[in-house]
Amino acid sequence: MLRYLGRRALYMAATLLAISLVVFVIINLPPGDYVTALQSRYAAQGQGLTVQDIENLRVRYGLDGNLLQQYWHWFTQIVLHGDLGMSFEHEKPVSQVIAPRLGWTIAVSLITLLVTWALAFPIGVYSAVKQHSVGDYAATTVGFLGLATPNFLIALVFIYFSVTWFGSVPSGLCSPEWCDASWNLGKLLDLLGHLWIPMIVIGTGGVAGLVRIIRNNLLDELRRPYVTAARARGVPEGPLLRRYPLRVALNPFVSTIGWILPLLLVGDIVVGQILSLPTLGPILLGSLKSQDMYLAGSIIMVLSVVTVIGTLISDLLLGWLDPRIRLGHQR
Amino acid sequence: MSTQQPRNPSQRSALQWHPALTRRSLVPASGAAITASAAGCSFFSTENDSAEGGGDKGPEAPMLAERVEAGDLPPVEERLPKEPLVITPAESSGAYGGTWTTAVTGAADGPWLWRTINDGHLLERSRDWTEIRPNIAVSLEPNADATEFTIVLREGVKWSDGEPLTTADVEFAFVNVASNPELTQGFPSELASIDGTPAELEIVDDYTFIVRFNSPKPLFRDDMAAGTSGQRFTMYPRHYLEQFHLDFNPNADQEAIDEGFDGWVARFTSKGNLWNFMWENPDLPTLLPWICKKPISDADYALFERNPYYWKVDEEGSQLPYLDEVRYNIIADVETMFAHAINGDYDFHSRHFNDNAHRADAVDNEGNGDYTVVDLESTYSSDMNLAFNMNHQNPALRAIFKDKQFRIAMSHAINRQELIDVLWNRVGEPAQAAPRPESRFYDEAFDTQYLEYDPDTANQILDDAGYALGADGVRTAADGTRLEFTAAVADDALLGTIWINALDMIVDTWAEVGVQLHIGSQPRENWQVLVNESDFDLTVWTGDGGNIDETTSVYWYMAAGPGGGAFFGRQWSELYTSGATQDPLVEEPPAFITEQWDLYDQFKAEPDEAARDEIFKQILAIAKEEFLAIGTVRGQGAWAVVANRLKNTGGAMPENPTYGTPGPAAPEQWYIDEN
Repeated sequence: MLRYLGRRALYMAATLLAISLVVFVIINLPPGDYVTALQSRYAAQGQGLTVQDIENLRVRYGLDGNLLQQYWHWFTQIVLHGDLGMSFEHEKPVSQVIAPRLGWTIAVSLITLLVTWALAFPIGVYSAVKQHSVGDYAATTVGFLGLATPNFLIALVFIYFSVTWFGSVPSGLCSPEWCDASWNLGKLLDLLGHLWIPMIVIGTGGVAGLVRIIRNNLLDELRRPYVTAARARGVPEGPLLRRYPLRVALNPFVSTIGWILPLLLVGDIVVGQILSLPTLGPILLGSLKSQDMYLAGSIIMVLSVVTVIGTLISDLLLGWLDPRIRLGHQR
Repeated sequence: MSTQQPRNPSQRSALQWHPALTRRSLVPASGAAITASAAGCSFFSTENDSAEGGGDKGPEAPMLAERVEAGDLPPVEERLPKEPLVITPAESSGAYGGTWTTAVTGAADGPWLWRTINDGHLLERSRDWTEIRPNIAVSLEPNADATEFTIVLREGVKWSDGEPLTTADVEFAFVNVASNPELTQGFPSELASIDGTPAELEIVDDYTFIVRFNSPKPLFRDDMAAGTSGQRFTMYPRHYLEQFHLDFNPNADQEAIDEGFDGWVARFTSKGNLWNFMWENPDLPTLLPWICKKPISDADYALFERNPYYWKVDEEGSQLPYLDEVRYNIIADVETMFAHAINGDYDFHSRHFNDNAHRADAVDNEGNGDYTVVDLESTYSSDMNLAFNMNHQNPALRAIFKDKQFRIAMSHAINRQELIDVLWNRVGEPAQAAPRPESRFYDEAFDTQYLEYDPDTANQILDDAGYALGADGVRTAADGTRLEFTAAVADDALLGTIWINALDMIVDTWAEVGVQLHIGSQPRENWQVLVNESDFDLTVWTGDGGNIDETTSVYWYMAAGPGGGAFFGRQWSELYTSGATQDPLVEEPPAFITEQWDLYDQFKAEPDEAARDEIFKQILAIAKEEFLAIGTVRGQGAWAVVANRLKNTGGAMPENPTYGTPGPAAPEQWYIDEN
């Protein structure tokens, strides 16, 4: 087991190293750099920067060296000092910019993950057991719609109906009158009143996908001879379903942590932008646009670390849950 | 009546979610009665304990009176300067209280804060922009030849922490900030003589200082009433910022590095170097009407609360501002922001979504959202000016773009009326890149030359100029260069969508005269790179300098001006502004360009205003004669949503970055009347 863990940790480090390099290069691919963005902002404000100013700014922000030097500097700072660098845009250490938002990002994603599971599991089981029923068709239709509709569109549709029907815009995670209030039940209720929209918006794709997977897996199992044999021996339907096919069909639940977590985090980036959530999404987009490279790179790295750890957890859980996988590794 | 609920801090900290500092201690509950639920179990209460300020009018806001009573603040008469600046309200004198809610897209959106709650210039412009009057300075007197200016600060003005503003702050700002090349990139031109030599500063006493130039600088007065320029002396609270400055604290560098910055410059900048960071640091003492409580880089919203030491009063002697707070919700997506706006969630907002495309929806929802759409006066010469790049790297293309006959033909080949009918909601008029009728520099002939849509004339001109029509319908120049160009467009600028659509239509009408146009649409940052490197055929931008800022945003009239200068001659502008170009100059500027530069130098040094305007008219006459850029449509201006409960905004005003809409409408005297 220790060797297994060690190997996984090694893979993780290698993956993160590769991600960091790719991320850094991609962020720097578009023409220009942060100083260009700064300049266009100054210009919009009616202030001009001379060529000399721009050169000085490049030196000031360390953008005068080549890309490899910048990367090496950033990377060694992270590894050796845990220092994510400075955000140009905010003129603050990146960690100070990310920290207040990371909690919300993870919270929204995890809550959404739980809700996704809570919704997808019963629906998936139902549509497998009652295949070709009205309920199954309804779940399938809604599921496909959820899969096919981009998150941001669902968010916009929600906003539209919310404005026309309820007269309020569901953005942010608190109403103006509650944002300043100290925590109590009222504020918690207010939070829940806001949280359900991003949860649904981000979760739909995941729910729909999971429902399909569960349904298909369970259908496969239900047709196996051992199910027929058990049924022939008079095992009641309920226990039969719970004891055997369901356990096998559970696998995707655990393995999904690995792929659903990045999906949720990415969903949050788009939806957070539209719904103005206090998460990492909006600042990631902003930092990419202004080529605030250390901030953008660090956010992506942090999300990658979360994802990679999520994958590791899901692998470990899967091994624990499913002997076939565990033993497969030992062979 | 009002009962404050006891709060259990351990429960709050146990949750660990609360990102904001609670303002509870600062804003005692008043006004609305709050019924207490069972004391001691406030977590299970569903009552809202964030209290609104507000109340009747006296010499100061009730929320401050309570702090005075509690001994946290000196009385209002000690907080105000000896002679506070008296503001005449736009409509009526107001009442204290309330929150002005508006929105920003994020930390990069500082300009909106700069426009809304900015203050502290030495002088200020009147609402109609015609008059320059005292602000932080009570006087600014030039000597006879305008080389020396004696400035007297308003005595007794205090920073928002109660420390007095004196010439010590001015000295710090000039010597340690503006003259420090690490903190200020390039010496600020408003503090330099015409030839670029830094001015001399002489401190006379606590409130008087003299600024000396080596040659006449009559526009210094105008500069001191303008946005950033006028704040150079009064934006740096010495008593607070000294500790971060290497000149005063030898350990500043190490301390900054220990705190995670990459050096003292980064820390100083982050604590309070010029405009962006006034919104970021709650500890920074300022002269603004509202001071930062929750910075803009925080997650949900930024909050600004009244400055207890603000130095302006209304006619009855009541300290301004009337509004308790300004709240900037952070809404990254413009459509979401617009949904909020039509839902009536903003009290005043005139940014991001206030274009033609959203106007009709905004007007439709006026009743619903209890707001009014107020038209802002456009100051653009046209909403989309076209510039051909006369500094193009390619000599053949450069030669075409420099041909005035070619540009005239291209102007005749634009169907402006069709653009107005299709894209500008039928509101607008054809116009060239020339000052607007309301400008004192208006010249009808300049404004209307080559406007009519006339493909025959255009074809004729191009034929005569030697651009022969090829077999594929595209003309070629005498040297064989095809007349096929790409327009670089920043599609995410406020008018970006309409530009793309307009160019789409121009593609067709130019094709009729044998010119093939492609549209290179891209994000603003990428567009900026192309423009900076002079690597584009033609580009479009708003026609700044149509009114109000004719003599400063000159870049449609000559190769000069802010933000890198003219689009038609980027390198020439650079040559004029910096005296040299970064990349080798592709071509020496023609005589008329240097003539304009000479005139502009004279303009800047001429003390007499009437004579100055005459000089500028000569610059415009050259621009007219040379037809440097092509205008299209002068459309309706932008607009603002103004909540019906918000008073004293004073109706229409110009929309212009130099004007800084709505700054000159004096938000400090806006107030909320719920009736």
